[in-house]
Amino acid sequence: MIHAAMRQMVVERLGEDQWLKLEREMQLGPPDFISLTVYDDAVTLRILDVSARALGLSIEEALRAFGRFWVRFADSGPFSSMMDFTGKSMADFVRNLDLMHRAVSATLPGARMPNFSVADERAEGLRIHYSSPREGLEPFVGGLLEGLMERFGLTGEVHHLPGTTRPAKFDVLFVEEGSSGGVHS
Amino acid sequence: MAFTLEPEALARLFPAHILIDHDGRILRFGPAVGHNIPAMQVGDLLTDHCGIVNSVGEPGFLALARHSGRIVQLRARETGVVLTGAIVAGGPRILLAMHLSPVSLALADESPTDMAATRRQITDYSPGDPSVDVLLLVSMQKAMLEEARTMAMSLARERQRSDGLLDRVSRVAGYLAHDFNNMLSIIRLNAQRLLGYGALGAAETRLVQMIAETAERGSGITRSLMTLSRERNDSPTRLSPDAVIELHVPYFATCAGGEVTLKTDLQATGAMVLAPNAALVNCLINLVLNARDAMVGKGEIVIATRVLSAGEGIGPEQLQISVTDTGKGMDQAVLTRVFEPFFSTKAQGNGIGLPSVRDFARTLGGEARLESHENVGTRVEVTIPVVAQEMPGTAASLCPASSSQADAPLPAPRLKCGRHVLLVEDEPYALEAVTEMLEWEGFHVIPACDDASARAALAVQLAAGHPPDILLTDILLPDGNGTDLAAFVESQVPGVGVALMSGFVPQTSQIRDKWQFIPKPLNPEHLLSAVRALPPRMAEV
Repeated sequence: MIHAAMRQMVVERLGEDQWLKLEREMQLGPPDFISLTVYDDAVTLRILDVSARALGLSIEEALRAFGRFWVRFADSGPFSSMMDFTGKSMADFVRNLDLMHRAVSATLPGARMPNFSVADERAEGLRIHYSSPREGLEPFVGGLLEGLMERFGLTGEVHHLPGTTRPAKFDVLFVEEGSSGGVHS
Repeated sequence: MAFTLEPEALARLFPAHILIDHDGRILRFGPAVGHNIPAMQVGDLLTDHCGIVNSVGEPGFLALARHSGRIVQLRARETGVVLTGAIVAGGPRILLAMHLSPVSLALADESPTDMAATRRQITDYSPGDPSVDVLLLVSMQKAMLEEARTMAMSLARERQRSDGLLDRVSRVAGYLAHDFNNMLSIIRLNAQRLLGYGALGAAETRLVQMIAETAERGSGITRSLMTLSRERNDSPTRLSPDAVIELHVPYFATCAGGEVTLKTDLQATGAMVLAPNAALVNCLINLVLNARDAMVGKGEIVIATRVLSAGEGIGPEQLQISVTDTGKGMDQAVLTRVFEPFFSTKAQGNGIGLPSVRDFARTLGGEARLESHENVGTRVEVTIPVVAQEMPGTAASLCPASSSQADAPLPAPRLKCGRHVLLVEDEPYALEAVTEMLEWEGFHVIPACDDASARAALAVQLAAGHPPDILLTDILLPDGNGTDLAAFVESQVPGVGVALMSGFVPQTSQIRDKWQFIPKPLNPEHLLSAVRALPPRMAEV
């Protein structure tokens, strides 16, 4: 699904012809873009690398942009009802993500899923903990949380708190007119 | 044992709980009830919104208090949602510790996966409710099916698009081949004229022969183009692969490129297979292009055929077509994937060439194999079952007149035969060359360059009492159609002999029984024998 979403993002931004050129460059074809298949991370990273260059973005920027796109992509396809089922609010959604991922793991043995939890929930924002067997995907998670804010009609900012300990910590700060606030660490 | 739960804790444990009094009036309910039975309000009677699905021993809600600890199932009248849970009665209140049921125990008319319709979310279910996992799994499967359907539709659309594109390319190739055929006709006819004059020196004769041979090779290429553009939807037919290969050698040589030598070693003369003609040509083109791409600079490609005995091949007698190159070969890693769809080691490769070759062979009950050695070359073998063995030569009907005939100089002028030919050809050089050739043969030619001038010439001939004996016309005319013209001439001159010429093969419905068809590029011998073979006009008999 990640591959299909990356393709869709590049197609939307650069057009189908450009994507077909990249596909040839990467020596990939339709079998590499079937959503519910577990792919080697090396293939995913190659697609990310080539797509980032084509989009004129750094890997980190591309991951963040892709995180935002990912929510929209999942929301508009056959997985939209699962997205709705997972939660009607951002906090519920993040809280239930592990349940959704458990279903993905059951369907795709071998898929390595991350863990999310809501460590703190307040009117002004959320503190979210994230951990994953993969490394370096924090920018993607940042973009994903931005995408979720958009999905739930919220405005605000997402901050990845510095530190190398697991789990990684993100603050999602909601911004409302005339108010400010944050989550205290 | 008595215990107290705060409303928030109760809501977390039983998101679909309902608290009622002994009159059945609703005192409180959980958030999942609010989501799924939106009309329910505190103070309403539970009976206004729900009915009891299972029997708890006695009818009515008032009996609930007497059945504390029993399981009750409710069905919302408005939304059909089913709630299942335990009755906990104590004091003035009755707690119905309910859960949303993914499937109704009594009435299985609610789709468990229709999440969009039910507007449920995970938090509507109690913590640890196994229904959530079930619903998510079923939903994943449903999404997978939906995605497979979407992908199938998208592939079908792509197929339509590529079919449309291929169709347009085929038509354009056909038009180009048609025009190219016309030009080749002119070159060949005029080369024949030059040779026919007999006044050339040896050097000039050799030059004219070179022109004629080159035109002949060009004719071979256009013939292949016409085959590929015309026979896209061809069905299996009994054919001789040797004859097909021989016919298309000029085209394969073009596909192989200037630096690569293409040779043939055809040892299966007369062996017939059941295969679509254009598909066989396409298969060979794929193999030749693959071989060409495997070679850096100069090299050699050999297309060979032989018949394998029953013991050598798979099953009954097989015909083997092999294409061998002297290219760089493949390593073991590539070798194991060459027939994998979309696998390619080439920057511009689409990875469908060799898989389509294998598909072609297997569809016909054969097989494709590949053998390769690094820095030595590659050999692809395609086997197809043999359906018949014919005597050499009988399969030649697949090939238009051979080139050797084309190179023969015109014979000496014959005596006037006196037959009038109305010749219609829009290419002036071809018109001139055919006119001269026919006159050389003793025909009286009335030349016309289009439909209108042909009809005008016909009127003049009729008025003079010399109606044409033969109409020889191109089918595609700038102001009309040769078949319409032929029908008109036939109506004016009953029994007139008709021969139609074209680079396209016309539909058989357009050609009347006694009409002749002469394919372009024109082969002088073929043209003359066709015209000579036309029966005398009825009026003359």
